Amino acid sequence: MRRLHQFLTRNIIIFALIIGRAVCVMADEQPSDTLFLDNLNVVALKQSDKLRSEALSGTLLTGVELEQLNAFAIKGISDVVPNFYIPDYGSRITSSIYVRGIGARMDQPAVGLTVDNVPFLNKDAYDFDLPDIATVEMLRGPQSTLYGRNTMGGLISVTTLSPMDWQGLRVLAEGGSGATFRVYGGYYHKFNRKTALSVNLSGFRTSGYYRNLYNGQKTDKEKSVSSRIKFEWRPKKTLHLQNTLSLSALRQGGYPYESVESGEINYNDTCFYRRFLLTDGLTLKKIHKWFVATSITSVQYIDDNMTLDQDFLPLSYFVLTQKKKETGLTEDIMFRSVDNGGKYSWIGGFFGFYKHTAMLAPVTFKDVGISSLIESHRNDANPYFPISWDSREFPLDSDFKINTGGFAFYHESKYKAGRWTLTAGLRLDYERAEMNYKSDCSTGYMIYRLGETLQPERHVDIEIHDTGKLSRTFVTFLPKLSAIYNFNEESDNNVYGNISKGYKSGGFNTQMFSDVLQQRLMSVMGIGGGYKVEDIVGYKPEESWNFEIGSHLNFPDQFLEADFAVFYIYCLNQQLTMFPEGTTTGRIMTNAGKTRSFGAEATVRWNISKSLSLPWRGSLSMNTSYGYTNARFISFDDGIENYAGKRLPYVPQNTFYVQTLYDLPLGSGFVKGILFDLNLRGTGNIYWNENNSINQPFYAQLGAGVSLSGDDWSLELYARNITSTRYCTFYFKSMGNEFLQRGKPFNFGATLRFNI
Amino acid sequence: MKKSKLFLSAAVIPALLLTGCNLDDPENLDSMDFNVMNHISPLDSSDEAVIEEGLYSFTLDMNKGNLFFKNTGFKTVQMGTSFACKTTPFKLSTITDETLMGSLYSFSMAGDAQSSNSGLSLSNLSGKISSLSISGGGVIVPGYPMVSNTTNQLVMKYTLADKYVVRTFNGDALYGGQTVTTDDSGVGFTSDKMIYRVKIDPANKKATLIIYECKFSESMPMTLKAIVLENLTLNVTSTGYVITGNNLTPMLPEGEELSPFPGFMFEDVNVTTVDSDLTTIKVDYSVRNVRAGSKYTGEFEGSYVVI
Repeated sequence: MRRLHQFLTRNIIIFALIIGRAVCVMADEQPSDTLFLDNLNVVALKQSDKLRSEALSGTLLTGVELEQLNAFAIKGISDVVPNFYIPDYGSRITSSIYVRGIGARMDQPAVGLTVDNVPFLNKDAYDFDLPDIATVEMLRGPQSTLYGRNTMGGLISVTTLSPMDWQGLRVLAEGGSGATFRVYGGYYHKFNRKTALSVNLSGFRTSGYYRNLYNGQKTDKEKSVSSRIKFEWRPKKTLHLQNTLSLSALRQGGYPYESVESGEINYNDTCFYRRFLLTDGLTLKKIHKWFVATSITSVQYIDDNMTLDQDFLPLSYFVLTQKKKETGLTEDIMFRSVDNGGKYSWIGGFFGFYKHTAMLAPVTFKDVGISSLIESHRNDANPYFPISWDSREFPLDSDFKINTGGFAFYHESKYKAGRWTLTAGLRLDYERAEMNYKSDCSTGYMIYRLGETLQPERHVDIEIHDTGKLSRTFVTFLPKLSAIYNFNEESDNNVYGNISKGYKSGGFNTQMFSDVLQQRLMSVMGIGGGYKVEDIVGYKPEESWNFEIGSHLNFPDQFLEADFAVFYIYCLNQQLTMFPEGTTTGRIMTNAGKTRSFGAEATVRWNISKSLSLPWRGSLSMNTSYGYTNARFISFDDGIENYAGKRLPYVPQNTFYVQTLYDLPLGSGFVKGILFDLNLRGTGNIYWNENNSINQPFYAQLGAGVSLSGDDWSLELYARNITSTRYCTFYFKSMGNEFLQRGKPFNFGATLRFNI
Repeated sequence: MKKSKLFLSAAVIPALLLTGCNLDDPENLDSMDFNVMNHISPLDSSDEAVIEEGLYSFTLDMNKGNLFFKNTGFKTVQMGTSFACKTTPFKLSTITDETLMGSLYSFSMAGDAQSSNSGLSLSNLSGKISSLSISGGGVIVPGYPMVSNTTNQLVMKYTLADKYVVRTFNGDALYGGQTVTTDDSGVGFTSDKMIYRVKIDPANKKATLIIYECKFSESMPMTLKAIVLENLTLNVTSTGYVITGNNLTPMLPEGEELSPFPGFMFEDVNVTTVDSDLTTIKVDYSVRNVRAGSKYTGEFEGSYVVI
């Protein structure tokens, strides 16, 4: 919070003056030709403005729809999009997105995220509030050919409101259960046809819903503030520039993990997550006679600290801290043929990125951890010479510097033959990651001789100072083939098929280093196993082949749109997060053998009133989506058990959403209209572990809302999980103890908006 | 020879081979020294067999494919008169398969192998120099420097002075194979991770047995990195040797010293060579968990090298 304030105070005034000066200069220029207002969103730049004319499954949500969902972050659209699931657990660092059985709980993301064309390199930064979202496009299935690494499950592209499209003042105030408050103010100004600027600022706080029995305080409280400055400049019809600078800072408690045995959230050590995030994306588009050249440059900076009571018990076992500072740079240069109605079109480009991560991840062993995990094991093994640790708290320090960089070349060609459009694409992706690690532990203990009294025998010093360097290089080709048959000229009625390869990068298990150190410590004591760093710390990339057939259908006479798809995914070396056997502190990313996933999706949007010519006033419409995924291991043997045939953990078998809206105009008074919203979200069955012994059955949440609106204002009253369905969003086992996180209970609120 | 299930390292091509490929070098000679134990057994069984340490200096002519060695002599045989073998052809095999990688020099000379400048006759020579040794035992045990797993091993047999059969073997080697332990109720546990190190001191007729990565049952919560059994009795037999011990308190490496470990008492330990090359041993022991009152018996058979 203080960082944001300092940054804003120091730099925003300067920045605003520079922009303002530049804008003033531009404002003095005479506008020439009519400006061509086009979409600078990366999906539109690489594919199409019209998702439903493409050979893929995609969902487009508009700003109005997102307001109806009261969705300020991507977690808000979980289950609304078929087979798209983002469980809400842990903290804002947790963005475990699952699409069609493909997902990730840590390290590399399975689904890409771009916000105003900035491709987020680290999924630790995926969860943040974004006011004034114009559109969210969710592309399902591998998008690796055009968008590269870590889009194996799909791509989420968020576009915020452009000051070119809307001008004025937008204000929002929201209050709700859990002492939740949100305020927002945004000013959108268009200086002339060429230049526009928006500045917004928002704040959010909540006390949360869950209480820690140990200290009586709410665990999932949060405070955050964010700001965005968006600048657009179109000096000529053929030259567009857009720059979006975003800053956010948050601090939250997080981690309301409940013990399965006791049913309580009860832990004694501090848990929190703090994050400062800065992103800037500059998009330059130049239209030539035969092609369009676009450059997307981004910089992103994360500074965060996750500190956990790692045992989640009211006992002092150990505390994990993960402090990270990461800087990322990306550059995407693409060339695309101008759409002149010809049969052949193409796109090709180059993408490069670099990311530097400096991370400190100490695990501090505390009194009970020392006695039960170290002293007791050693004393059970040799009770005649028991030991006592020098201090009741000591750290296992781990320090990492990770440099990751890569580049890619990609190309896609399209050929139209009558009603058919055939597409072939290929991407060559190269990536190299290097990690320098440094692990330290300085501690010791006294050995005693057991007699009538304990007599000191000798002291053992433990000095562990390990350093090393690991590197990984990944090269892959990512092909794609698709065909689409259009039933009409508008291309929004079609049937398609596609085959594509998906790819998720490999990397390093930094969380396992505390375990490596712990095992080294035990080795000095003469007991325990031992990990070889090279064997346990790295994990391989994940690759998949995706086969899909689908259809986009439009029945204008019935005011109905429908999308259907069936898919099959074959995945090699699927990355799974596991808790290693025994009393360990870390989680490990391992490559499972092979997995497969098949399923189906359907989305229907229907304006019932118009379709059935209902006689009453107002408009009744319905949006519904359903996704089914059957994802199983083909082969996975972790050396202890064989999981072939078992369902993949954390993957919901069904996602379901239905929303019925009734929009009633009220005439010309202060209140111009009232909108009723009744919705139902369903998710499940979800298995929590590889052997499928524990699961979350299918559950549904009922929601409702009433929205009053006038010329430039609206007031929405909403309620979610009205029947207070009890369900779990997360389950895990650590040190033999089972924990889960419950979903939010019944919650409600009111949102007041002014758009002036 | 029965090839036990071995824990083998990725063998390093002997350094000498790197020097042995220069075709332009008219003389392509490599040298290797082996400081090994020698089991010296009288042909006529008139005296008892002994074990004596000895140094062999080998010279290999990689171009011509032959070798010879010199030895400084044994106290047991003519008071340490040195001897040498004359040039003997060798065959080099490079072994590469799923589990093995390394080289094997095989040589033999049925008749008189004595060089002309030695006072002792040497005959019936056969042997192998193998880089296929067992790895493991990576735990640092105070007082016992780690055994390298990349050295060549000399396994050789010859007749000396027409009176003695001499067999060379590694007196401080790691043995890999399968261990089967059984508890009081007859429940068995099998491990191929336990590595046994036998270090003999023939001058004092003593030996040390170190067992690495000890786990005697599935229910044992922690693996013991190494158990050291010192001051075992070494008995030399006509066919090899036997090492025994009773009621031993094992020592455990802890920090920079060994700590006594009376919680696990080794009531009975027997180590016996089982093959004529002295590369394979059998280890039997019984261990009592003093506190729990339970007992385990362990059986191991394994080799230190593949020949």
